[in-house]
Amino acid sequence: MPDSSVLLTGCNGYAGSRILKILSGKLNFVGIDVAPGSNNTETLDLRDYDSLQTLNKYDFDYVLHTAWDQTSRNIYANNVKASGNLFKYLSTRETKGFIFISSYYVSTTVDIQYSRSKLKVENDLFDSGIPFVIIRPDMLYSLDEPKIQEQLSYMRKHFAVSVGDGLALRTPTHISDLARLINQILTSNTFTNKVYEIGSPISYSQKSLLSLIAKNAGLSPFVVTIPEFLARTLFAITGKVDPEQASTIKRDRVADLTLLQADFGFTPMNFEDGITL
Amino acid sequence: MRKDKILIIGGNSFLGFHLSNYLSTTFHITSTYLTRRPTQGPFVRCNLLSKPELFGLGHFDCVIQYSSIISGASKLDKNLQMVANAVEYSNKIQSRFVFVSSSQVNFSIDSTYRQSKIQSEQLIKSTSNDYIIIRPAAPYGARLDYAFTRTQAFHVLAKFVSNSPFVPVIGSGSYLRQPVHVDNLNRLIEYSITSDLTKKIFEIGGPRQIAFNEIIDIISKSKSRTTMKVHLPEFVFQLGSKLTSFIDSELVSAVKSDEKANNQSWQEHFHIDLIPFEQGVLDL
Repeated sequence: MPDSSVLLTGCNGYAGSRILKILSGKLNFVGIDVAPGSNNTETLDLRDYDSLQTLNKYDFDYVLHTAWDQTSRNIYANNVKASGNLFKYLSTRETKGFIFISSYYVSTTVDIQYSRSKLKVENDLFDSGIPFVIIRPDMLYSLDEPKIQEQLSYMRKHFAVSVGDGLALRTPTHISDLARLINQILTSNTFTNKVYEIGSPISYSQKSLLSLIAKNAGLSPFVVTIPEFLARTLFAITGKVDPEQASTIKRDRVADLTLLQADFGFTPMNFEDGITL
Repeated sequence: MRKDKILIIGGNSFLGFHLSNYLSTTFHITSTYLTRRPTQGPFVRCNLLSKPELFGLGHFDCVIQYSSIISGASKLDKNLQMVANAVEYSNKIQSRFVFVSSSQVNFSIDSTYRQSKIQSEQLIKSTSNDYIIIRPAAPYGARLDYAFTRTQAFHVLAKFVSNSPFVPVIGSGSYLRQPVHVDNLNRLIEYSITSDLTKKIFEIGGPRQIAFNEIIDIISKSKSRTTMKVHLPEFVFQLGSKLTSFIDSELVSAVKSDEKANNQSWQEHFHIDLIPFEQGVLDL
């Protein structure tokens, strides 16, 4: 039987649900989410401090914080409030360690609500005094990730969509690598109070990522390039992506794995391997 | 006390890189960076606004802050927060904090950049346990084989002189500058690391004040060129700053302030042979 109990926030989100699925045989999870779903132990809104009292009946040693508003108009306020309530609640009980899934954006000069909220919560966690590890993944993915599935649906219609020239570099993180790292941190109880970037050791242009996805699916789509302003408009209309992120698409994002390898001996997989899983 | 481990925050800037090279034969140097793009070179990425990232860098005997935001929204708040974090970090690890400020704090024309330096200095003086503040005046030095995010103003000027028969000048060009060679600046920082002096402010400039027009003449002479100075009103450069990211609008406004560095602030403690601009210009 697994020994460690982990409070998992955002257990019905993409990252939370996949991590739970991968690690459920190795760790005991208490799953919480604002949205109802199959993984919830409790459905609660972290922005409502009183609702956190329902967690008093659960034993957990660690916290894995993946819950994040990524698309609303109040990304900053919602996330800072929710995380602040979580830290306030945890100050009333003992916590052995806290893993925060931050974002690679904090390793850049990007200044949007999303990156500011991640940065603020990193600092609030630091000030909380709880032992922690902060992980900044670049572009979490797996074959069943919604945005990859959306591209595949286009590709089956013989096209793919690229915003801008598609030349900006990315180092995507396979969700199983993130889960593997979390498991390593929790099972070894290694809370270093440091920040780690994670992503593919090889960087790829956005266009080459599309090519690899298509190649893996045996498809040969025509790449349709749309300008940034149009992407921003589409993001705002569909609500699937934070419109502010459109302004960051041309920027390179290349994870620096030096610290991850030095402290955990951890090397993630390349995208071309991960996309086949 | 011997100081071996030095952290240079903003080490991939032109001046930070020069400093890193200068100190690396004597000290163990760690340089941080944070730019719009990934960087090549021996740098550690660090967002100074993230306390867990900064404090995770470990222990150093001296922390030198070169990093500052010189354009964009919220630059004042961000610069102050970065300084607050760096001071808190230095105090915690009991290291000396050397802050590279700017001679612009003495400018007669105000700007957000100037205010950020003034308020940063005030913050340091009220919170740091062990600090030295250095105010360099218009530093310049040799090009380095590295793709910097911004091109140094003196290098832009030298390139203009080399490639063009004319140089555009903001206004009359009679405003004074006191350019200091980066080797002199680095020597003062080295003294600041090793000296027992603390809680001091040092200003450093070249041996004399020089009108901007004469600076162009000296650069032209060093390159055996004849350069015509085209004096244009400020609004032309303001327009240019809005159309390009080359120069910040506020810096255009402040350029007419005269620059004067008080070298006596350090000369009673240290000896540095200041390099005349006529000699140092050969590095441009």
